[in-house]
Amino acid sequence: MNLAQLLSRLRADPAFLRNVTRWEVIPPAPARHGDWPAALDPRLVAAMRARGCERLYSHQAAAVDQILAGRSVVVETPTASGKTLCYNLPVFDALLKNPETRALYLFPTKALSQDQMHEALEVVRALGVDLKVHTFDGDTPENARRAIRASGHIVVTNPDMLHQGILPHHTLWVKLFENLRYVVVDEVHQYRGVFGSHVANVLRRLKRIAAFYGARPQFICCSATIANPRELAGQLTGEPLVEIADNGAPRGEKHFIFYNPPVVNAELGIRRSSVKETRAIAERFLAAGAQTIVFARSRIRVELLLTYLEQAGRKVGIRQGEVRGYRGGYLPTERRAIEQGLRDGSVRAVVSTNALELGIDIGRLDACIMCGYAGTVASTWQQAGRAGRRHGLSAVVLVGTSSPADQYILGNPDYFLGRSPEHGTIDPENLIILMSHLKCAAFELPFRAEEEFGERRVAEILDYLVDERVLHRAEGRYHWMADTYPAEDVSLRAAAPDNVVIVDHSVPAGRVIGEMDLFSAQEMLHDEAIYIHGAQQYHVDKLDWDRRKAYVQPVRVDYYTDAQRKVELKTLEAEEHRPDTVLGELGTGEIGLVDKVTVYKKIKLGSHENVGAGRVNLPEMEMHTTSFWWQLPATVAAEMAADGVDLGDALKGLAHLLGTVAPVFVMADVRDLHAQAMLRAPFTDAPTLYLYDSVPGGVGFARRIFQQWEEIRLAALAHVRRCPCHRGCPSCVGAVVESGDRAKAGAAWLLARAAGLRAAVD
Amino acid sequence: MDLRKRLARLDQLTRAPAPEPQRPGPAAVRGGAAPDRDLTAVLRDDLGLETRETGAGLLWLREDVRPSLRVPAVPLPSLAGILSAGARGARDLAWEDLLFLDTETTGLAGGTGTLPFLIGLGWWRDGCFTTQQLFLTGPGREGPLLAALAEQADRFGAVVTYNGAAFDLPLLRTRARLARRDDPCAGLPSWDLLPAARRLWGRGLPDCRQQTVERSICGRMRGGDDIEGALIPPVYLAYVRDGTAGLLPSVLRHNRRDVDGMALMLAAMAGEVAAIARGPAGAGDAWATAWSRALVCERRRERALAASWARCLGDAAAADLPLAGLLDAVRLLKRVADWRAVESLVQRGLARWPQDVRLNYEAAVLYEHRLGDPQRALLHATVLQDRGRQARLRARLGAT
Repeated sequence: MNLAQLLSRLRADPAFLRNVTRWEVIPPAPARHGDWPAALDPRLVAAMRARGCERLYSHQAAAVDQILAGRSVVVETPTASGKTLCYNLPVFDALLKNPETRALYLFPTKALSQDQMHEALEVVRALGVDLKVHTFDGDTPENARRAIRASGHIVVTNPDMLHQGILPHHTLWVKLFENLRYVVVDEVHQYRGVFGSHVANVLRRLKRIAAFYGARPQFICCSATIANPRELAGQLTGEPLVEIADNGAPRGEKHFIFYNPPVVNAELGIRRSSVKETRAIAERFLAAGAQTIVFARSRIRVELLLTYLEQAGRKVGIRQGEVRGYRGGYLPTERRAIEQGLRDGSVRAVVSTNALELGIDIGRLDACIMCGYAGTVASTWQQAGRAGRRHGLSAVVLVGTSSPADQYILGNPDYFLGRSPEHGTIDPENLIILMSHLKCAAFELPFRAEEEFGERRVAEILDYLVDERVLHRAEGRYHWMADTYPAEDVSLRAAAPDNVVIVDHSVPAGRVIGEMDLFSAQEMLHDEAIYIHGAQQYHVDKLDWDRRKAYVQPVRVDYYTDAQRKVELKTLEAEEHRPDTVLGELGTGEIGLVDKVTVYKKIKLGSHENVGAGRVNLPEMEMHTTSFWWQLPATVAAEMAADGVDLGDALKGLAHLLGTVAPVFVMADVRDLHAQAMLRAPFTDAPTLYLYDSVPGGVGFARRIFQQWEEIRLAALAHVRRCPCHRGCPSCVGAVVESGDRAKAGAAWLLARAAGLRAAVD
Repeated sequence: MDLRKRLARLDQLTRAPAPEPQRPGPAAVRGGAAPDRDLTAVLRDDLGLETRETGAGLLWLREDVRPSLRVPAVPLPSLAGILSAGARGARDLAWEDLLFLDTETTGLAGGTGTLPFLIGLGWWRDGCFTTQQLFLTGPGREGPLLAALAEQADRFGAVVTYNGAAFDLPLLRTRARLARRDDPCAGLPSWDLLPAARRLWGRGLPDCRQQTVERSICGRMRGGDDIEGALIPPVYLAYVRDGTAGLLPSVLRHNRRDVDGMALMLAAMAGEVAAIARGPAGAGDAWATAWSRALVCERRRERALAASWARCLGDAAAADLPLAGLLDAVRLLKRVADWRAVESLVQRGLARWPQDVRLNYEAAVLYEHRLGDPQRALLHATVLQDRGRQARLRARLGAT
């Protein structure tokens, strides 16, 4: 049986089809080509032809044309459409014409840097020239660093290393900065939220240092498909960019199957195990001889599925070693061997975490099965892009888990298949993040009083730092004036510099397993909490708040803990407001909150029964952040009562629902946003729903919701109406025990009414 | 809302409540100086600085002569094998050709934001040692210092530092780049005394900090009035903010001691070079000294001398000679084919480390190939479980 036969058999299998919420057939598309740009060095064209690249795809030609014309670009095309050439061609063209030229490549991970270095070295080999391409990251040996600084033509690194290792030592990199012509920023869609807001500031620092050495580099950005690649890349780089989005690479016919495992418990929204369903589906693809990649969200699931598939493979004559696992923690040589095996076909199936989602070259496979939604549409398409040769048939199966985000996607495939609704959101002006990078920038080079950082004057913040005795103002400049190294204290992956360190003290001397910001720590690392990390449960024995340490040990228990926050609104300063279409007012601005975790519940896994509770004694946390709010007219309560629905339940349900749906639209993690509903909120004195950024200062999510509110509100309505539960479940408005038994009807009533639709209750 | 208020609020929110590392209080840093005095008066009266007009602006400096620190009576010897390979030799250089340099900085972190605020220089002129200190009166005024340093550097044949190859010189290079100037010490061979001190004395000292070497080797005690290194950045930061001298006089004194301490140390190194060349004087040299001297001779490719120090190491081999020292001595004695001395050392080693692989290997090879004693060689080959060698030796024993 081959893949085509398998697909037609599945199409005729009612037991399988019962769980399919959508079977989309994406038709094949032929290649569209463009000419080799005339300005390109003929040696480069000859080398490309010798490597089997006879012609460029139209998007590659367009990108190279724009870049050679001196413009910065953002290329937005799917996985494996040949975007690497879009930057390697102009970079090598410049290097051939002037070997003094330098380029900096930024990738979000070290593995990707390695892969791209090898790719660039292939070009060097094909050209037969002496050009140096090096990765520079935490793994680079000390004795190699000097040579890389002096003579690396292309330096491949990551934003963290640029931030801590390169910029504060820029005088050692004179060659690079003086001759910096191109900066490549790949996987731009990964730079969003807190991380993206930091990276935007790192790039501001990079441009500032380059300018000091007289260089003004062009930026070449690449992104997976999102709604706003040009806006996001523009915010990151601070440059006007030309968008290249018209993919000219060919593709074969692709079947995209949305598979939602059957419901086991409707009230609690629990479905059959996605791992078991994935296993069953993957076995059928293996038996059909399809080269298959299976994506799982955690390392533990990878190992579990690997074991299942090895067993299954034996039954159909697949030998040991032809099914492989791939995840962080594997040795680089092992990874390289697996990648090679996938390319040459000797590996028949691979089970991977999202480590293989990014652009590492493994060729194209026949089938991709995703055990769980990858978190964003962009990431999911990147995973799906692993299946699909340029010609011929491929299949993708997305197997949903019980999590609310998965259920939203499986229940609303149009959201996924239509034009990408996801907006990559960052806020480089977040004051905490901005201030951190101003310190780093002042360390690197004194600020002139009138200097701009990004697009804004920063003298006022610099003056503040003078008062704080971090900077010193003399002769019209702000000088770093402290005996510390500020980049060391700033992690690009966290908003606030202060974190709780999580220590597994079951091993002698203790082992640090992670860090967490203070706000999340109160909720997830309080005494007696069950903290889940890398699919392992840990019991929190002690949260030492003063020392910022949580001592945990691994356990296996059948419950999880859910802490209750008590949130009090202290201040509110509106920046913008406008009326909603029909009902109420919308606003966005800064809010001050006092946030306190008071109690927690123990909830049994599977049944979601409440099996215990406890008090939490932690200090109140004050937070200032940005919020969106939807203020309803006070009269709505009576109107709802007349229709037999309850405003209180409705607001609780709405908070749960929007806490799930809104992050999907703004590319946030569920934890990046908090939702809070109040029957009679201070300041508005009316029933109000707040959705606010969970990091201090905010990184733009709330403002984005304000802009996209109508779209999000309609999506939330569609989702709650489509949800198969009766009165509410964790996938929509929350379980009945939490939100009340009239939450689903009430939330739907409000959303419909606000959209000017019939608000009738079914 | 007021930006400043927001900043303060956010800053407070994210600042760690854990206690700051122990820093001296303002009183300790400021000392007794009265605030609000004219800066010029502070520089002149409290720090004893004077001004000099340079092309790059006004320079604040002071010079001190140390009549007691005479130029050494012996000619400057070759420090080949003692200084790191990168340092060019002392051929044709005299004591008067050396520029001693040490900086005081706003921190040890390195990178572009660390500021050297005091450049201490020293040299011998007319038989006496002179120190010159260039003081940075405030950030952004490095031009005159860097220019003066470049001018000085031009007049000398090498720059002598303590850990300067890794710290002071790169930092000055960084500052020059930031000020868009050439590296002031670019043309000057660099003599870093830290690796040299490690080579000569490191084996016998608890650490190789400059003050430890000064105390143990040169017999110089700095006394309790020497300011602790960790206090130096806050003293300067307080000066910059408040315009008061505070403990800066102590910092300047400390810096002068660092500079002339290097001169003392280099003189001691010259003495050591002479002692090495004279060869062992019989028993009495500690193993640490003999070991270091043997290795220096090896680096200087003086085989016979190295071997004689190695023999001395063997003689001195006290119960606490580390195995690495013993193996070094074995290596050096093998080079001069002194097999009996090698045997004596190896046997002494085996008495302490009977199962050690390297010693047994040395013994096996020695007895098989050099001393023609297959019986004893077999003993060690057995410990090594070296089957090839065992078979070969058994065959040889059977044949005889």
